[in-house]
Amino acid sequence: MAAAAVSLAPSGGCVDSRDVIALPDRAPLHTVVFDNRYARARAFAADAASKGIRTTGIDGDVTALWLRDLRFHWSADGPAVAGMTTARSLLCLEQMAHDSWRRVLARVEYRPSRSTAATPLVSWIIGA
Amino acid sequence: MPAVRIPPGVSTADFTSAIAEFQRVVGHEWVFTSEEDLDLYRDAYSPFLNEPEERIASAAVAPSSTEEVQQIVRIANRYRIPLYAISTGKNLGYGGSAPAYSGSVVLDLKRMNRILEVNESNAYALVEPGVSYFDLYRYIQDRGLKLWIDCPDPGWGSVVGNAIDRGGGYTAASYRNHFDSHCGMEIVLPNGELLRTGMGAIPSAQTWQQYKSGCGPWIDGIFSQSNYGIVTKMGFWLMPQPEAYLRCVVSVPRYADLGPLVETLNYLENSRITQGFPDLSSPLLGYAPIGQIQLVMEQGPPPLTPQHQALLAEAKLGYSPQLEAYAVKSGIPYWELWLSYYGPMEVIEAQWRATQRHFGLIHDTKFRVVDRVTLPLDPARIENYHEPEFGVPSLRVFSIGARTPWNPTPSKGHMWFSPIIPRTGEAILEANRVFGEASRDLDMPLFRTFTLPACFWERSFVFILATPVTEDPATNRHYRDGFKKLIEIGGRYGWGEYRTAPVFQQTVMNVYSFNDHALQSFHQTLKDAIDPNGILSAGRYAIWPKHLREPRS
Repeated sequence: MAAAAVSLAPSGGCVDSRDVIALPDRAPLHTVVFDNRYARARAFAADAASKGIRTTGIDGDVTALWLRDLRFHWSADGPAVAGMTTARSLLCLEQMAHDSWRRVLARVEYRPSRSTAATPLVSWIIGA
Repeated sequence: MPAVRIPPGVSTADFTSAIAEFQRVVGHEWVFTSEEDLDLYRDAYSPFLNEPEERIASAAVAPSSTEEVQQIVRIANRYRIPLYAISTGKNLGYGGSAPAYSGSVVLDLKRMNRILEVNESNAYALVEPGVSYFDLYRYIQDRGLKLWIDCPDPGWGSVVGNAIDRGGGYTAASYRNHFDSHCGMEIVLPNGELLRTGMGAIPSAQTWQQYKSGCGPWIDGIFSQSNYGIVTKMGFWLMPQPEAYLRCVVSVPRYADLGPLVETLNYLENSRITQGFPDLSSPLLGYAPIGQIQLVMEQGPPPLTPQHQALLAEAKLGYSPQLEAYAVKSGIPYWELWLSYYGPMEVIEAQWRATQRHFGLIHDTKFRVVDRVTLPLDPARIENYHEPEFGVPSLRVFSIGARTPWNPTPSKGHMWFSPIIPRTGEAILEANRVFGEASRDLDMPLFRTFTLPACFWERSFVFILATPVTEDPATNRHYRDGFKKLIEIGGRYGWGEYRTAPVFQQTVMNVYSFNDHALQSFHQTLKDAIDPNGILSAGRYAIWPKHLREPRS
């Protein structure tokens, strides 16, 4: 799936679009998953929502998302899922996606600052 | 990464023909040869990630039935194609979905995901290898069956796959050892023949999942951690949903109490007075129980006073007289044992009273009840608990991804170091001494502070410790070398791993060297008889077919 050259920017702010995935303009996305513990991920989701894309917040734990949504969605061959989470959450989703032969189509690491104390996040798209 | 896309020793023509025949069996869409598809069969925690030695597949085939597996195996024999069977490939930390022998064709059994039977009255299930713990859990919940599964943490893997690699879980003792709780298997042998073990060898068997050993030699064990066959069905005994749950803590104040604490635990476990997952911890040494690690990683460890920190820094093998005096004065337990009980409330309350009577023989022992609940738990409350202790699979462990002061360098992955040691306090101290010294000498990030083992298994302890996998090949090489040396050092003390990743399987099996490696010789004898063409999972647990076997030096 090709990504259009449109990046999401938080309302009223500036973002370095090289640090987040560029979501396709009109391609359907099932949902944008975001880790609600992190401001940047919340901003990523807010912009997706402003474009009419459904968003799903997690606190790092993907269990409910998997059990109630993605396991049905992926086995039913649904459209791609995007998100901005920690690398571990993505690892988990990536492994679960493999069960339906889905893969990470794109991923971009986001480092909020030069500080090694900050948690890096990753924006991604999982699809067929 | 090198492009090993033809299995070693197989001609391009034969491989092409085999792939075409695989496609005729399972359909074109279920045979994978592109680099993009085969990326799904790399070990996400490989300690060789992106190095030339990384084990990679040449192709993958995903059959949907036992009959298709048989056909694939026969084709593989004809063309001498090495296969490597996986269930759902979630065995991260122990090799994942990558083959032990690079260039193998991964036989991906995920599509074989039928739950064939769940019998509530006799509390068993019969499943195919593609059934995950989540699948079985949901099946039971959706039908309102009063049964529990026992699952590892995370619970994302295959019920069959985890048991075949002899993994474990967190509920009652009878169910925690996943291979022990199986009953009956169906296997496709390397020649394509179909075999059923135990009572399943009787046509129209009525007790296949009720009586384990059938008659004559009980062969089930040889299909675990091996490459003698592909398990296509497996039965498991399940736990009847208990009526109630009790969670209690036994605290002892002194260093020397560890020995009697363990001895008493052993008596109570072996007498079935306590059956839940015993969880050793040390509040004084800052060692959290396994069931609380999620909380500690989310919220951080309890703060220590500067004096406490200074005393810890000076302690040797977790002890100094000053540290113990501080513990006694401040009321911080040296050791704690978290115990859980499942059953009717009147029974588990009686078991807890008996537990207290026995532990009360240790001077100054304290007791507290952490939780007392009737079951089933309100689903809204389950997140307050370590879900696997209630037979609930979870992925919550992956939420520990944030960089925090207490987790400053979240790793890319890990390799599990898992030696078995005796069930005694003395063995815990000895292992800490031996592995602690070795880790310092080898600059390995294990046993740098006092480390407690886990009680997954009855009658023994196991350490299950993560050695990180990093993005730096030099660091990974250093950790691999150190890991192997720790295995060898443990072997000299009579401690062996219970499970390990393919990269370490030869090193681990070399430790099992009684009578000039008689065990490995026996494995090879079986391999040559059962799989003369050596097509199945070559190298798994150091069992190599004849044509790939190196002479032992």
